[in-house]
Amino acid sequence: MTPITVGLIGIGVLLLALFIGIPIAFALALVGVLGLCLLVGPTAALGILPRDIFEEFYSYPLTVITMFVLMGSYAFASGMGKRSYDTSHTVLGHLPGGLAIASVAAATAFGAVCGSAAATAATIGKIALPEMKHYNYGDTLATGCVASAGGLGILVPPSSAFIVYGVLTEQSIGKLFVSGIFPALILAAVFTGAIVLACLRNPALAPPGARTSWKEKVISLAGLSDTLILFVVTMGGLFSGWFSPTQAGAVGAGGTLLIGIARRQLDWQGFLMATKDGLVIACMVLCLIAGATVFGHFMALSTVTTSLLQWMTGLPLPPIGILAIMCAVFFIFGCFIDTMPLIVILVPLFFPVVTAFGFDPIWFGVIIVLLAAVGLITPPVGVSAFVVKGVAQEVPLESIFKGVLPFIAAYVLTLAIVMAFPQIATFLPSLITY
Amino acid sequence: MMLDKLEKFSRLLSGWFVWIAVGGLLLMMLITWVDVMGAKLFGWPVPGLTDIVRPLQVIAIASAIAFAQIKGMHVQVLFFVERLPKRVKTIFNGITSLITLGFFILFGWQGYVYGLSLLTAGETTPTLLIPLGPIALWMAFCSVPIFLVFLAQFLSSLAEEGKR
Repeated sequence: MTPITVGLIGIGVLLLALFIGIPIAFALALVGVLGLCLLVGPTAALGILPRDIFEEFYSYPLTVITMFVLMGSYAFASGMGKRSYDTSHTVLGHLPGGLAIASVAAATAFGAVCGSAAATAATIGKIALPEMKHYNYGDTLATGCVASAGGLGILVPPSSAFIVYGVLTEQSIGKLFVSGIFPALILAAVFTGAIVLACLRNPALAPPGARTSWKEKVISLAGLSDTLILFVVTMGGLFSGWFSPTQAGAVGAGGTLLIGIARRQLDWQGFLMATKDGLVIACMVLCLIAGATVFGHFMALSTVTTSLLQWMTGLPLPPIGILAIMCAVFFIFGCFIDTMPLIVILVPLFFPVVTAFGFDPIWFGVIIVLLAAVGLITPPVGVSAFVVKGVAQEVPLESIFKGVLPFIAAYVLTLAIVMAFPQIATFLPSLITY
Repeated sequence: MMLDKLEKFSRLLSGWFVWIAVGGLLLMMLITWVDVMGAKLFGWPVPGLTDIVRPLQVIAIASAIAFAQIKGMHVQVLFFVERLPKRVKTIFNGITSLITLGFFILFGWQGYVYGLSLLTAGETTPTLLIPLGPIALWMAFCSVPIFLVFLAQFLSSLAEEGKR
């Protein structure tokens, strides 16, 4: 058997292993080591397995994931999402569809301290959905909006998806973080447009909430103060080069913890639970990266990656056509696989193509994160939709998936805008040095 | 009865390991905090910070693998399996547990060999000269609780199938 045949069989076996339900991280490592056994012999292959895994766990750049995940976990437990929502509710709640718009605004703000889409959807969902129910909002709009807004959590810095992409492609985490800001704002604006449009077509879908005075609106802005301070300190420190990414994450995690304690939102048990939650998420992500490293060695030795590159560069298509193919693959896989495995499996395969065609890696990162966010709400495996279903158990999953349709259109529109105007993603990174 | 005891023991052991993991994680955060404050405010960074943080991450992550599995955090594609009839699903669960069990036997064994090789070669961190062998051996040892978790899952699938 030629190496490429072994590689292609390996991909087939991996897909089979995934579909019978073996945890993705372990399936990647197992198929990787078995493939290496065929290519380089058992002695060398078995030696690669623990070395690759140890080196990933031992990697200093990966400590940034651990620290930012911990920060998100403390933010989740310390009530920062609720305060963001309360502010958005007071400022925007009186508008038609105002509570849905407030959910989008709160998700954008909460995304500034929490890098996880599922945590953002869960936090905002727990607070916003009962409120929208109270004001007789349609279930489809309410749940669809919250599930979709979760994606803002991985677009607004700090973002676990950007960190993993940056680690895999050796791009600056700071530049990747800052690149997500404008696309996130555009996405939030397009979401708002979609909500307003839906309310204009059917005003009964989202009746206006209670009116508030200007004084109340101004006072409510204080609810964003801790989020803003944390964002300015951690991201400002990172963007200015004052902190390394790991230091920014540790300062953010420590700062969020202190805020939670000071506001009496985090007691001893809450602190331990939040730490354990952060730990298992970090463990899941690092195991995925370690598994993908073993599999990546197998792919490299089997020459599948280089053959894919040669095949794609030989296609009679313009670069945008190649980009469209890659996006289609990400979109289809995203319907079945969660964000992290999606990025960990596909980015190493496609990244050589990206560099060969001269695409900006930071811009491509934004596109990938947007596609990963779409994957969080598309059936059959839409993690954010499942999270919202967990919060609003009386709403059928079908209604949630129906509710996300206008927001999928909003994602596609944002993707098209970012593709057409790459400067949206690349302008801010060009201003920072780190 | 034996299966219950095994399940309980695997959970208990994973619970002990996760406390080690939590300790490692909090130390990582604390030391990085001290380094930032020391460096930025007093010009006194923690010497050999990465030499401390990197082994701590190995300890934290490896010690948490079994607990993460118990919590269902290791991502799986269940879309296909969940649509299968209950019996077929049980068989599939048994097969996947057995395969993963095999993987962790392999990983534990090779991790032990790797740890010993680092120990023999006297590999250390560059600045503080912390030996890496014991860290790698700990990583290998962490496959014991995860092995027990998957063994319990496998035996549970067998028992379920045996009841039919």
